[in-house]
Amino acid sequence: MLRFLIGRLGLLVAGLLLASVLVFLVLRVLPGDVAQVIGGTNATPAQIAAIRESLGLDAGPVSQYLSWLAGLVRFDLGDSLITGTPVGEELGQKFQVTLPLTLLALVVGLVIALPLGVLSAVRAERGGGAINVAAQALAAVPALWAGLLLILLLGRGVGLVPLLPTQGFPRDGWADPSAALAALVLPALTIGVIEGAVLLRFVRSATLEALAQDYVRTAAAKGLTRTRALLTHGLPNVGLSIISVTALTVAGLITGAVLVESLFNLPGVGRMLVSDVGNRDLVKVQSEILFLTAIVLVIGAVVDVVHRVLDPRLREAGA
Amino acid sequence: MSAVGGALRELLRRPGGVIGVAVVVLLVASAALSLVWTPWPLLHTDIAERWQGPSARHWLGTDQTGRDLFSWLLAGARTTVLVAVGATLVAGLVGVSLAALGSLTPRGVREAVTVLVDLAIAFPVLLIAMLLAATIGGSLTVVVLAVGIGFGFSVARVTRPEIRRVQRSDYVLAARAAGVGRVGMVVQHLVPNVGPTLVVQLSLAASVSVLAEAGLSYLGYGAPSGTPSWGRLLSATQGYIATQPLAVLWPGLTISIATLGLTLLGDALREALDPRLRRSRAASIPTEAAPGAAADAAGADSSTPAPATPSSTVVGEARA
Repeated sequence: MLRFLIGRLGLLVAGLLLASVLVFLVLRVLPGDVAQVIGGTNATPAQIAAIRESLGLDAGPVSQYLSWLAGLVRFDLGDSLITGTPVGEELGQKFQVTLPLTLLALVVGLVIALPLGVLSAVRAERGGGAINVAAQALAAVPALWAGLLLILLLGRGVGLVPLLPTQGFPRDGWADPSAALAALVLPALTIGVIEGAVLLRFVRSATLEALAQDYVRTAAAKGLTRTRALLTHGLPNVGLSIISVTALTVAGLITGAVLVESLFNLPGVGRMLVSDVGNRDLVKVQSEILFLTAIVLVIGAVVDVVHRVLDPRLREAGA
Repeated sequence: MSAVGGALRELLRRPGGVIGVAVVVLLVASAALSLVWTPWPLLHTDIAERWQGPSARHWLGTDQTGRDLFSWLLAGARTTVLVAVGATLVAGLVGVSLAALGSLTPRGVREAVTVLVDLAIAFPVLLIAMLLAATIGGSLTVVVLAVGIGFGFSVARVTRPEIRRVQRSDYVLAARAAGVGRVGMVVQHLVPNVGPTLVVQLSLAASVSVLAEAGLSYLGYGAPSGTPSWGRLLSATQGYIATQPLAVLWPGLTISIATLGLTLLGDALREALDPRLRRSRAASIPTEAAPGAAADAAGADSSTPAPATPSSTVVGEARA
């Protein structure tokens, strides 16, 4: 177990380093003169020189990278090129919107995927296939359009059942939790419904696999109904593969957040990234992308460890 | 040739395959048709005719400047096809190169590449796109490169084990003993065995590219303004959702149908090209079909196969 933990941690660190190198190469080395890119075509030579100095561009790329890395280790993500404010602070603030949004979306996704996925496998002959087809169709829907349809259905001032706000987030953040939560419901539904459709198909195939196992058949032969046999013997196995699959949806949740925050005008990390890319604020962009990638990698590692702890087969194999 | 014909027949025997092929044909035909004809010229605007509902004159109605929505949707297929073809080519190139590096090289290189691919696969396509857009500015090239590179990792991950399997097979050993050269080995054994997996992956890459183009064009980092694109159409009309819901409906519906069609095509191809799945379907053993279904579901973000549950039978018996 310890060997596994150390190995997985090493892989995580390697992944983070790889991501940081890639981000740095693409944003700081590929463009040639970064100062010119940031300054734009109208910048005066003096402005370019100022940018160059603030970025420490006169040092070689390796030492630039190392100084960025040294900052990261101290949680110092640098300052915005445009406003001069610390990036880390803003990122933390915006994350207070993105984190609840993605968690809520994940809950929505699981609430849809778990029961319906199991149902569509158990009732494979009677209507289960229809659920699967519907999920496949739903997974092909662009998140933006799903959001627009939900606005049409439930949006305040627009929808057929005008229940929920469709634009923005309370100015004072979470000071009024119910208002903040209300602002997140439609966006979270948008991401959650689509990710739920993707997850549903994983749950379905994991359940189908469990149903075909000998131990479920044996339990059924001993007098349990097939559903009971599945619930008591199959589900632990289904659960394990679902934990792994949930890690896969993290990437989908983050992608969804970037798009949906723009649609619903939410001040989260996704919309921050989109606008900083537009402003060519490369210092912010590099930290934001690394931050989002780090989330994906860390959750992947955590899920692997949890999987290992919970699965007796892997535990024994690795001991 | 007969193998391709057989696969095609097998493909068209499945409902998903028929729908998938129909969508692809329709998509390409629309794009080609729009090059020579659209009901209204794309640049035709007429404020007097803005926000028309569907009619014989404007089949799907008009937008806020009186542009004909059907004409723009038809022409939008050009962008979709262009991006899908481009992204598929790049994904194939990146994927096959990485898979080859991960299987045909000395052990040290091979393992390093494999770990690299496993790590890179976590990087969402949208973030790759934002990274590129920040450096070279938003364009359709960014969409093609981002989907191509992002999905290329998935292609590599799925293709590499296939190459390894062929490499270690008895028939390759026999062929080598019989004196078949490197080129012969690739043509006779590698391509026919790895090709099907690759084709399936690439059709999934195409379906991802449709969604990615729509999303990035919506954010302003995809198709440049003036280019007919479904994503741009969606973002141009979304502000009017309260008053003109129909105009928002069409582009979203088109994107969904195209994506679904390409996903179904990928699924059907997987079944049609894999003799093992073909047989299992006949015998209707759900376990055999399950891994395929699991990988489909991953299609949207990555093609990572569902995590395997190793030797569950053994433990299962102990538990039961």
